[in-house]
Amino acid sequence: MSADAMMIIVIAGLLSTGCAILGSFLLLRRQALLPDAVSHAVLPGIVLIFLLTGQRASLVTLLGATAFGLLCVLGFDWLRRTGIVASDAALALMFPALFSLGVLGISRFASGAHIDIDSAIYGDITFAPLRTVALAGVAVPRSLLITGGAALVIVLFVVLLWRPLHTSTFDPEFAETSGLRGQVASRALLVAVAGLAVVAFDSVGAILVVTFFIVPAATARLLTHTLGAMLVVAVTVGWLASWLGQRLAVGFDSSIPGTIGLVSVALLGLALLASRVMRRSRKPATPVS
Amino acid sequence: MTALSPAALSLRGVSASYGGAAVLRDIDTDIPSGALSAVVGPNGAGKSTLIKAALGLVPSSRGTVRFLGQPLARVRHRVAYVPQQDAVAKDFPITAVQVVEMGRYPHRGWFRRLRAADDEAVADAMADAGVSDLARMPLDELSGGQRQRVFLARALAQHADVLILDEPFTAVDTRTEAALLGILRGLCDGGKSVIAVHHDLRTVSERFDHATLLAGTVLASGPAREVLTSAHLERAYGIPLAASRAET
Amino acid sequence: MISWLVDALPLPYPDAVVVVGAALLGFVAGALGPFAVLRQRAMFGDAMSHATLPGVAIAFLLTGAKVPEVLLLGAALSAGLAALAMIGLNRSGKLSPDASIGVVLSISLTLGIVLLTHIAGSGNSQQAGLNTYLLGQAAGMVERDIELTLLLGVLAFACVVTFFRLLRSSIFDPGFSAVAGARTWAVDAAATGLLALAIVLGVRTVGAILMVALLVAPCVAARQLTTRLATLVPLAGVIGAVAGGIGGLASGRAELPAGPVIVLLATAFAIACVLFAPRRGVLARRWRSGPHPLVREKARPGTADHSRAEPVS
Repeated sequence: MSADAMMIIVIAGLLSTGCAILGSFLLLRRQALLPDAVSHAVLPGIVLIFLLTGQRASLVTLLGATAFGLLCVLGFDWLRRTGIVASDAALALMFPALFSLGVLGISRFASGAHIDIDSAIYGDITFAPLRTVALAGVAVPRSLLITGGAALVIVLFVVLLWRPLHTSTFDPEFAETSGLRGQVASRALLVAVAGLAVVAFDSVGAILVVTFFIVPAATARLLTHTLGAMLVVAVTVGWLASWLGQRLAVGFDSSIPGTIGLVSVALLGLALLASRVMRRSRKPATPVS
Repeated sequence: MTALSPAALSLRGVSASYGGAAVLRDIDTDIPSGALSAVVGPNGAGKSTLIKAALGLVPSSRGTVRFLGQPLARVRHRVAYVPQQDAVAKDFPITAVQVVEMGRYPHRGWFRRLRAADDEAVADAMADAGVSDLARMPLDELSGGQRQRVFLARALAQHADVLILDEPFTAVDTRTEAALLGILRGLCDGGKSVIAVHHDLRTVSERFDHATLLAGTVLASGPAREVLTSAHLERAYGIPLAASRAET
Repeated sequence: MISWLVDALPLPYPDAVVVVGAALLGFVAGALGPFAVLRQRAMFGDAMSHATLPGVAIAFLLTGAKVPEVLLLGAALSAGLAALAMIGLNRSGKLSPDASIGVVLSISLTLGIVLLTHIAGSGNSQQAGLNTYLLGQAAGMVERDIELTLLLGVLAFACVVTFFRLLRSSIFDPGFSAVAGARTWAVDAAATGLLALAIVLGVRTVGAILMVALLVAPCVAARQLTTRLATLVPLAGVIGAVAGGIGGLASGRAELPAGPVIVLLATAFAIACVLFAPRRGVLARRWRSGPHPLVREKARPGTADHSRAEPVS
């Protein structure tokens, strides 16, 4: 395996670490589709920052994109709270509109520049090892720094806020009344999701983000019974999919993020089968009374 | 309640499960006709599942179900069902009178026009339920109590012989609850059968004729006061509980 | 009839075709959208739209040519399969509804992208333009497309009219309707089929990523303006048609992808209705301070709600 191939696997693995952790919380909170919406909604932010500064991947881009991701989440939340629009319809109303703004921005003002619709949709992890920055005299791929940093921040975030996150995911009203500030933890989770969706967007494009967030988490949910175990399994599945996906994509000369996604889905299929077998081998439930 | 008239609802060997977990096991019970009957039990006892399984709404259920001695398919138009409020689509564009008109569909089918007699039945049902003045109101602008009256009106408009209600008194104030109970009592006096899932044990022992105490299986079934004894309730709820103090 | 309509418009021929075609499919999508939105299946529709991508790609790989009807057939089949997969995952009780949608969305997208990159790399000269299924394109619409949309749209409309009572009561109260003798699975299949039809007709013009907005936005807007399903369905259709017609024309003139323009128009209108609708709008509610006089709860504050208390407590 070449060094570049290894680098792609590590970048994808780091990315899926953060995604799998946050995805597990979203899955348990029945907000599995939020990262999909956010990853679409960040496009106008990226385009706007590009038009203003000419930069397509900088800290400012991250901030601009996260701002639009939050705009999507807040708009969704506001629509839902009015009680006029059901929550799924509210989501389906917000993100296509923001994504449309982004696409129009690219088509109108930025076509032919370094930003194009294809990379916004498909991402460009394939070339990630080639774009390097000098760090203490060593050329390090920029994506490695970004995804590594993101993974670290997410792990720290979850470790530090474990109790409010865990409790408010399981029982929001208890978390609120017991003074654990569940609402604050929930908001912080949404900010983290928006930020990570931007990072993921840069590497794998708008439409594969949902796969990275949800599929490993769903796989882990089928195989585990505690949140801690679920997070560990989800991250492991993410790395496994990154490794197998990259190898297969090279073998079949196919899209790397797409193949990683397909492998995750295949692993989920195996987990579905496994959970069925596990259930069958278990004894029937004992009587209630 | 005599042996001559068949039971309003009769279950033989009914089992049901959700997602692989058994909720009801081998239910054998009869709920008499012409009576106000309650299905009671702790949370998770399978109260709602029992009536949903009886109505064929739980795909995984097995066993034999008879309404008035017949399979449901033969007597659909004689059975009215008022589901739990959360089972109804939220924010659906519909007016109160349109909801009540649905009660005539089992008689007219899905395609035939409603006739003058149907309109009369709808108007009478709305009057009986005390919602005539709300006929043109959008359902989502009604209070919980008003909504529940509208759904009861739909069941009344159906002119059914057996009414099945799933937790009809949640999100309803005590005064509406008393009014609804009065309407149901009137139906029973007129020879109809009413079966309600309910969790307020005091109301059941004071106002209902018959009770079925459930906790995965039938623990007791019979006249309400005889079923809701402290010995039975302790078995069902797992803690000492006096019937008379159940609500305190 | 179509050529008459196209000629009657005071527009150059290609523009007129686009306006009529996009308005027609906007009508179909808008009118069928409520059958997803009112069942809380908006994102279900999103996953079905995305699922058209692998269908289009496989149809192209099998036939090696871009015959619109064949590609649309592929799209319809894979959208239907996605719907089945979501219902199956959900019924298995192992994944919640949103997770089932997320998983099927993931399968559709990854498969779609892998196949599209494969086709792009295969050097087939015909392949250019498959990308329009992602973001949509109104230009290049021909009269035959309009005829197809009209035919299927009329079929769908006839279906909705014939089964209106059944659809309405099954969506509103599935439990009651099942007890009254409705075949729940058949209604489910019909509603999903109608949804698939709307998606397949719209996906080439609006694009797979954005199609869901054309189903949802007109319905949200129309819901603000009426309290009856019988009015909601045609009204949502008209709103979709206006967004489609204007958006299709404007995007063609400005050489922009059609999907985003149509979607922004429809969404802007929906948000305006959420804010300003006379009775249900946010502002109207705020001004009215408190509930409608007829609705005000008759219970006095003293009458606590005992029925909610658990017996054990």
